[in-house]
Amino acid sequence: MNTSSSSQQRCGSGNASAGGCGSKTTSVSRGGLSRSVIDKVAQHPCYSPTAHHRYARMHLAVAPACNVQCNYCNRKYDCANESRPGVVSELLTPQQAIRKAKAVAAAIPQLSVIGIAGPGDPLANATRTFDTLEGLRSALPDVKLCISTNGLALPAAVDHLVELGVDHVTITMNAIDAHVSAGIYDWVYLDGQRLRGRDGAQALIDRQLEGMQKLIERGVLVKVNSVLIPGVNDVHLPEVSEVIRDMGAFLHNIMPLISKPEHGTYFGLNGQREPLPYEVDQVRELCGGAMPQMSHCQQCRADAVGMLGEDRSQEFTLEQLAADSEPYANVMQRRTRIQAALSTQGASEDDDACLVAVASQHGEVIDQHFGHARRFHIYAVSSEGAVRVGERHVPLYCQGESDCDTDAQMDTFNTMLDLLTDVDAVFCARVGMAPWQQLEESGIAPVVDYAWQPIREALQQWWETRGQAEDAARKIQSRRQQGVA
Amino acid sequence: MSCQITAACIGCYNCLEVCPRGAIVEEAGHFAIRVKRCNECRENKPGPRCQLICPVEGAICKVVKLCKVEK
Repeated sequence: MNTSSSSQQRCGSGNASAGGCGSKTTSVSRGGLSRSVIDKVAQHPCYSPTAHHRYARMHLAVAPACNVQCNYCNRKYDCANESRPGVVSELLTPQQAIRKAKAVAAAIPQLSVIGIAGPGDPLANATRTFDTLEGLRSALPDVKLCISTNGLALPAAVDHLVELGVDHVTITMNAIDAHVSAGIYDWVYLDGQRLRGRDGAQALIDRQLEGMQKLIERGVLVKVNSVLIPGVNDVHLPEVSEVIRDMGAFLHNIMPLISKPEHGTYFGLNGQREPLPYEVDQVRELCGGAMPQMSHCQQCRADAVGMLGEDRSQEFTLEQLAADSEPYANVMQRRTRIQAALSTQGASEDDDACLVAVASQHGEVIDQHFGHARRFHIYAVSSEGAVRVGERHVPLYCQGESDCDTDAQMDTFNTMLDLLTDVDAVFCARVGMAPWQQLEESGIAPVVDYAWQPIREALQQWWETRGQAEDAARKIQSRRQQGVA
Repeated sequence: MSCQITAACIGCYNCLEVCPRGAIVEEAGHFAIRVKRCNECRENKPGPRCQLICPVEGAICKVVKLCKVEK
């Protein structure tokens, strides 16, 4: 099961956060993007046209239910939990999902993003989705988390998503006019009611826009997916593009409708045709004036695994998952080394290269107190310069004065230390005396000399002076030796 | 008073997510409603929530009890 193409069309889901290789042209314009945004997407295959050659993604199918009935979706077709003899259910519980994620992260070190994209809507299954995200956040502190939603339940979920460090959210918006929208959705389920027609459409649009605004205010990157349905929303999509541009969305992904009678969707059964390739190109071009367009999306399944354009989910079925043999800390260090080598063309393996951790709120300036950092940005510093290679999400060290110097705080610090053992230095705006000493004792240099400076330049400068200092030390050493001789 | 799930169910989990009384049970992809827990969402004017979010017509319906007619 789950092989139908209608599954690739889950409302806001399957197609959503994953992209894929294989297109010859990518047209994500990079003009005007800030450094931190470029860094944020550099390892996300679905957001960056270059990342999908180097990084892999995985969708965890933990969210079966859906609160919207889209006319291009047949809930029966890829119902993940159909019970027939011989059929392997791909629906995962949060615990199974985390186990699978660990196994995939160990087997595919290029895995940078884990997303929840269905088979229903992640936020219509809030408990399962958030249990999974929370589990992933502590079990795999170095992966990006991402969801793809139809947006109906988004406004109430924003705070929780931000708290978990979800940086990327995809919203499927097929129209911003209830007139048009009513032709795309049969009904939406909201607050104990089934809303049909324009009422339902308007309720959905309102919540999508509200959710999008909240996310963007909190610094989350929003990608908008739109299914191109000829004769329904094709001439309307440029309007969508303009609205989402004004809202501050990052990327617009226009995907062709998948519609065949055998898929059993409303559109498929009623003869709604798919757009021709040139029609897709035309609409993308029209929308391109307002929004950067994504054209490398592969509309992949809600349980896809691997590099874009490939699906290795069959290698990681529940039955095949081995029991955890290796502690994740080891896996994580290996993953970081490989990812660092990938993004520095191997320079990170040089003798004088090193990994450092940076406490920074938005990834531009070294502006965070050690104890206030929820995540550290990991940079490889080498002859290639300072290159961001990933991040590590850590528990919050400073919980307020009442917790200072307690056993609980010591535990937190040890957890943090486990997450930073492979870095040479930690850069932050300030650090307290106790953690300073503990870091030094563990062989990690705390560095506060570059507080409030831009990360890249600061790291570069630090690396050069460190090199000079080492050279000088070596010279003194050799002179001494000569003197002795 | 209770709803029930019929053979038309496709196992999409929608009802499980919206039932406020934990009346929906799932076992290996099969779904059923616990009669004693379900009150057909009496307090919800539009009707039973499970029925409203169910994507299949006729997969969830109210149980109609037949009254004995006294002769």
